[in-house]
Amino acid sequence: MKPAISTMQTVALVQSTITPTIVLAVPSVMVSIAHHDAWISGIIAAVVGLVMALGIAMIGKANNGQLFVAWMESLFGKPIGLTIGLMLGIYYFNSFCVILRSFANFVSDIVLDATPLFMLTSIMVLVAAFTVMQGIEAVARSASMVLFLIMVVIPVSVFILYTDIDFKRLIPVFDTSPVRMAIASFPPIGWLSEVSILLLLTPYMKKPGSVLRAGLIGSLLSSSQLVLVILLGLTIFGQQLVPLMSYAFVNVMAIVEVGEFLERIEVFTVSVWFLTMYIKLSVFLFASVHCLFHSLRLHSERHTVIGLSLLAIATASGEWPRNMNSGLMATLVNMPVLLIMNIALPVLIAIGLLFTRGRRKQGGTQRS
Amino acid sequence: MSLRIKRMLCAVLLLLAALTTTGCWNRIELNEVAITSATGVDWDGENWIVSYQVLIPAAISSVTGGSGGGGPKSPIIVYSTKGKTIRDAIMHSYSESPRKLFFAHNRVVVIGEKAMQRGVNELIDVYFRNSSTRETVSVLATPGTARRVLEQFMQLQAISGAGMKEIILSEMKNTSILPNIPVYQLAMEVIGDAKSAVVPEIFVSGTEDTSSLESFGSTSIPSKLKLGRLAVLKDDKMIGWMNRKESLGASYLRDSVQQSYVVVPCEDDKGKKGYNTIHVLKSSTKVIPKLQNGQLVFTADVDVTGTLMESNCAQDLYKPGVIQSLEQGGQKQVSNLLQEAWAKGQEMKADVFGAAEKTHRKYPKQWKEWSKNWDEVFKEAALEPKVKFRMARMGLSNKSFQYLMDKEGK
Repeated sequence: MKPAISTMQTVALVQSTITPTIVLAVPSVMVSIAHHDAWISGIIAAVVGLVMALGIAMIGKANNGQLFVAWMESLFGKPIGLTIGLMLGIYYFNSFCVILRSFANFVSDIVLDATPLFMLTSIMVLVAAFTVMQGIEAVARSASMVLFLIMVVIPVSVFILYTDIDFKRLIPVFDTSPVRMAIASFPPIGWLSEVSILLLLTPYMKKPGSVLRAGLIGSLLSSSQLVLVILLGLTIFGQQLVPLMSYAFVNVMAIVEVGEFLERIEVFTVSVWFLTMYIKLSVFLFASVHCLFHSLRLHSERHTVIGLSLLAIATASGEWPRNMNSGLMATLVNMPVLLIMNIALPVLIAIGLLFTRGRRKQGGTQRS
Repeated sequence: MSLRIKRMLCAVLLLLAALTTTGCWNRIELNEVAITSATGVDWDGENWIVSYQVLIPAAISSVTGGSGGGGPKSPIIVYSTKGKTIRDAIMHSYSESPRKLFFAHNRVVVIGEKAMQRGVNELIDVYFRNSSTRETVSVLATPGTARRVLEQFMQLQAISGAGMKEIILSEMKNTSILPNIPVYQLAMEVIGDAKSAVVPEIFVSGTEDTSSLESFGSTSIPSKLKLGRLAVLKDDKMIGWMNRKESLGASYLRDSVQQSYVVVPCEDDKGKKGYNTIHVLKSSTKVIPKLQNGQLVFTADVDVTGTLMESNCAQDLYKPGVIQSLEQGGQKQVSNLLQEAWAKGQEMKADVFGAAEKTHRKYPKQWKEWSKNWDEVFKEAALEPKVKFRMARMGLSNKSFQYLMDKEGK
């Protein structure tokens, strides 16, 4: 394996992995809990996100360039390494199905309401599978282009909305109890924990030493976008109306009306969001293929992609008969899974690294 | 399989993918949709009656001067459907219209008085739940039925739905008596701390309807669509009207005055009375809650800048004191407007001035108590207007024409 992705591309991958889901339904959930102090919950989540990124990067730094599953096997032995690889493979596949369905629901709600769900999920998986087959480098390049687009779209959007923004709607600050603010920060913390994807990406980095920088910047970019969406929602619509909106970032852009020539510009915002969505899907499909392929010692990566893609289409289209079921899965049920796989498992790996440090040092000394 | 066949298969697959991955499962041609320019909502006591003002694109050119034989044809058609819910009523439109209603170009939603009294919650829910409708649509209230408003033609604008939106925007920009209330703002006010909202009135002024193009054969039309008072809503239901004076006062208190006019009475040296008309160029208002001896009071700091537009009092504007008296007159007029609007709001127990939000921001701890009984707290709260009126310009003349006439007479 040849290291292929730059630090900037890693930043783009991390932010594309987290942002599409964190800005989709989370802001209105947070506002319904923490009211006009939800942006503070966003900042709390951002700080926790940075700590998680730091922790993941520290673990990633211990890797000397081996692929994740191989690294786990070399550290803890084949059975444990294989189990961790399988667990992560199943987790990434499960998450892929959940987010696939969430995105299909969103597309169906906003634009393509007559298109059957099966068709939407199939197209999304087709694009993601095609991208994954081109390798992580292609995904990373696409992610950096999308990041550039986001950097253009955000300032333009804020500028256009400037006259509708009223910062007084954030006052009084700290009106909500600290407990509610803390509770509201849980959903974004769950999504920000997806920074753990760095464990799989580090071996592909040209400069693995800069994994810390990539993790911190990527996490910060995502949480900044979350805080921005919350702030826009609160300063434009106020705390009472935002919980009514399933997708606050779309409603925010939908009110733009400059004369009769600039209207319905939410289409542009949603288009850019679609791009990040495809990157996220590609990253998750890549991660599940990567873990399962290496854990199960499969022979053809291409066929693994095809097999998992078909299974994902069937699962995402048939598992949840109602949109509300998948919504519940994405917001509540999936949260403990996210925290276990992205926080608890890395913590266990870190503890394992500490325990095996002496052995590795000894091994290193013997080899030298 | 040879490489050539493989390549050909790949090409065919890619072409097929291009056809299937566009995401467009169904297609609707432009000639299959009925573009709605205005929607009316009425309540008959048991059912919602939803009326649609639908464009007839082919007829628009004949009205606006384009070619077409057989004389002008109506550019719009109005029809109504009935249902237990608003969406149920809209669904019934499929039974009578050959085209599917398309609401993306809807400019206004007119609500009849009875529907306003029943409540606007359902309508807001429809707008926020469906992606085809837009939350930027302007809301208007009418004392009669919404359908009658939709049926009227308008001078200078072939599509009256678009015309109604233009009138309210022009009114807001030039006189600021009535605000433009989009659906999302109505929702924000209804659900806000005070649970009170306002909606501008549109009505048919005149005895006969202007629902036929024949009316445009003469230089005047029998009736017009006109903006009037301000409907006041409490807990999503309409509870009364504010007259235009009270409405302008409310605009000052809501800090939504862009430009306006003030007519100030004046008196010359000989005691002859007249009026000065001042164009308000700029205005900003800060409503500040204060606690005085445990009692909540509000101060309205209004900063107005104006220019003299007309004067029929004999006055020399170079004379010291004339400008001050003009400013004092403007100050008094604006103060009166504020007091009248505040009193009306208190009478209706409807805080449409945003006082609740301001109190919540300044006194968050006390707000928890006040919010339980805000209507009563608001009713007892006094308003102290502090108006700063500045005459920035006098126009192109520094003396009134009456002043010169009187001087010539001497």
